[in-house]
This record gives sequence, C-alpha cells and structure tokens, in this order.
Amino acid sequence: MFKRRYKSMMEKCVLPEDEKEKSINRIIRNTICKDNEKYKRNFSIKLMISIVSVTACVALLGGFTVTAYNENWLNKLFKIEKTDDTYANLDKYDGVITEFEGNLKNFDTQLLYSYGNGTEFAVVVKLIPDGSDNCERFLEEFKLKGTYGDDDSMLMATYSRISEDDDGNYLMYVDFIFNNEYEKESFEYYFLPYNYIDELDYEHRDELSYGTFTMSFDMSKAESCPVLHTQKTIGNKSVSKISITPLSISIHGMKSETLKAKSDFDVVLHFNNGKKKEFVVKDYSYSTIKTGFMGYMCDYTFDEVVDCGNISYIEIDGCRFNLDENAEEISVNK
Amino acid sequence: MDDEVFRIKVNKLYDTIFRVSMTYLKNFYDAEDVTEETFITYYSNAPDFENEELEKAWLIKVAINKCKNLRRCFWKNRRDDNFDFTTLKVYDNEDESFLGKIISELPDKYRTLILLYYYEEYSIREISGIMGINESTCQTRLERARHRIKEKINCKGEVSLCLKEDIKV
Repeated sequence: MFKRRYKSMMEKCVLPEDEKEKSINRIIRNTICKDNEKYKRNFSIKLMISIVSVTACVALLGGFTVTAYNENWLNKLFKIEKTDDTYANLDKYDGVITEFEGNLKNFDTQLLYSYGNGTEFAVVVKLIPDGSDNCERFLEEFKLKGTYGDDDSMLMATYSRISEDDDGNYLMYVDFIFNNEYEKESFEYYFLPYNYIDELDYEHRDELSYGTFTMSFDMSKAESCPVLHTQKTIGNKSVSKISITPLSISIHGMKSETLKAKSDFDVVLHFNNGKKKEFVVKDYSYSTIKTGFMGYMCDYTFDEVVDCGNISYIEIDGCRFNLDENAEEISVNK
Repeated sequence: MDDEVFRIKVNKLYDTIFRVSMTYLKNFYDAEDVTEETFITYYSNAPDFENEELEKAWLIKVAINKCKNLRRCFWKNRRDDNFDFTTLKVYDNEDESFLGKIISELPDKYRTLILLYYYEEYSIREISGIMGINESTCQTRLERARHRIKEKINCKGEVSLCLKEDIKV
C-alpha cells in the first residue's frame, strides 16, 4: 500500500515536459554540440592566428598605431537600475551556542562569538598555535581548501575561513546550516581536509580529521544578533535575495544571468552612529560555471565582525535597502 | 560515445536522475542542474558498463555525490530553498501531499534510501553499493525510516498506509 502510494507520488515528481526538454537540450549543447564545436573552434583559432599575423605585418609595415582597448563600454552595458526604496525584513536570531569544546590538534581554541537563528549558526573561534609544523600545514590546508564536517543527518552545509589578528593569532569563522530546527543536543563538527571529501570514508573520519568542535545549542535564549534577508530585487535584474550576517554579506540570483553579467556590486553599510563601511562584493560564480548554465551569488566576508544590529540601511549599487522599524529593538551580543 | 545513443540514454534516464536529485536536494532548480551535470559527466567520462542496470546505478551514484557536493558549497547554504513537497501542484489528493510532506521531512539518508528501495526497487545489497554504506547500516536505516514514517502516519490517525513489507536482500 505504502509502496503503491509512494510510487504514484514520485511519478509526479518530475520536471514539466517543456522544462525537461529545455534541460535535455542544454545537456546536448554542453556535450555533443560542444564536441562538434571544438573542431570548428580549432579551425577558427588557426584562421584567427593567420589573420592576426597578416594584420600585424601590415600594421608594422604601414606604421599604424594601435589604440589601447577601452573596457569602459563593458561597464556601461551592465548597469543595475535604481529603484524606489525597498524594505527588508529583519529576523532575530533565536538561539545561541551554550557549550563549546574545541579539540584541534596543535591548537588551543577559544570561542569568541556565536550567532544563531534556528537552523543557521556561526561561530568565531580564536586559534592559538603551539608553534609546530602541523599548525602551518593545517592553516595552509584550511585557507586553501576549507574544511568540512557533518554528523550525517543534521548538517546541511558549512562555510569556513581563517584570518590572522594583530597578535599573530588566527580567527576562524565557521557557519553551520542545519537541515531542520535543531533539537537541543550536542553536535560534533569534524575538520577534514577538503581534498579528502570525495573519497571520504565516514567510518574513518576521526583518523583523517585535524580535530573536532563539539557544540550545544539552546533555542530558548532568544537574544543574539540579527540577520537581514530580503526578497526584493534590484531594478529589473534577477537578484532574488540579499542576506547579511555579522560575518558576511551575500547577493543572490537564482538561475541568474545577472551575476555573470555584472562582475561586482558596490555596497555601503550605513550605521546608526553615522559611520559607513564601504566595500565591493565581487562575482562569485558557482563552480559548475564551466558547464555554462549556473551562476548563483556574490559573497563578501567582512574583515571584522560587523555590528549589523546597528545598521540603519544598506546601499547596493545606489539602491537603498532600509531596515524595518524592528531594527531598533535588536541588539548585538558578543 | 555515439551521439544518438547518448540522446536516447538521456531521455530514458532523465526522470530517474532528476527524482534522485530532487529527493536529495528538495529544490527543482538544483535538481535540474545536478541532473544536467550528471549526464555531462557521463558523456565526458564515457564509462563502459556490462549492462544497463550497472549504468543506471552508476548515474544514480554520481548524482548523489554531486548533490552532496552541492550541499557542501557555502553559497548553497545561504539560500532559502527548503522546498515543501506539499506545494507540488501535481499531487492529486491529500494523501499524496501528506505522504510527500512526511517523506520530505526525513533526513537525507532516509529519503534517498526510501526512493531507491520503494521506487527504483533496488535490493538492500544494491543500495548499499550505490550509497557506499554497509548492508546492515542500510537495513537499519530502512527500518528507522519506516518507523518514522509510521509514527507520523499514526499521529494523523491514518493507519491505512501499510509499511509491513519485508526487506528483500
């Protein structure tokens, strides 16, 4: 009975015919057609080389001056249009990390900050190296490739990075996204070198990992740091969401051509005390951009923890995003 | 690989790979992308298989790996895409929507297992090969998944969905 119902349900879990056809066409375009184009491209390259050689000879002989290539026209093509003020929703984080234990090889650890919003958490951890070669190795691996950890069921994704403070200590930022509302129990995060992920044998991850973090969360403590989300768009471009946390800002575009076209966004955070923080969020395309049909978001990681509870508004390429009236009620706990 | 053969294979297996990706990612757009990438990988690698079943299993495995990779990407974790199966307009009745919701709330490891076992009708041994886990783990997970589904169905007072099928090995 269950099987029959489940099958009947899953039969319908397919793309609509027209979408499926488009998708299959994309596959064909990126495989069979690409192969065919390779031949044409090789021929074109040879032809281009011949033309360039002949042109260069003519230019040299005739004494022509080659004008420098001007890239400004590219910028003009992809201007994001300004719109009226748009309002963003401000959600409170509603949970905090109550217990934390870092067990990294060759490092002492100290939890500096933690943030959470039900399913999304971030921690900032101070790493104090013991001076051994392994520390360098860990840092290099981490900086280059990032790490990954999960417990098989609850964790959906993580993002982490390391920066160095003035005292020569290292600050590690780790974001955790969970599949569902976290139940109050401790969670273990493994630091694994990224290059092992593909062939990772989960049974042996202890041997492969550099160490672990163990954390417990408490949802009842509903005070911490705000995170900003908006579903508004900028102009007629398909930017679908802008999110900001104390650690980073991201500009999203679902199936977006925008992010391929526009290489960066000028962002200004305006704080209540009149201070401003200006930076450029650069294009950060999804890794499968090589296949030609993806490009999701831009992301910028702040060089310091930003007090986003005191942001009065955000300006992105001239578009102003105001926080709603709840902003005043929100404070940042460090 | 022969172009025409490839086209036929894509047409034939597209829905299967899409379903696996959708089950794992719960997002139409991502599932579509992963499906496309899986076939592109297949074309690029052009692996030889003894039979079509092995080929299909290979594609499913590649799709699962790609789903896992996608979910590990940090930009993925910044997006709101908790897809709710009940919003699928295609479900004809309340039962299907309810079942869809229950399944979508299961952890990944159970969802994929349920799909492979009940829909694709793979045996435990085959699933353990595809998912890269022990047969016993596979069996335990299937039991747990059934238990969770059963619990939720019972909560709604709808005991008609019978889950007492034997596990075939």
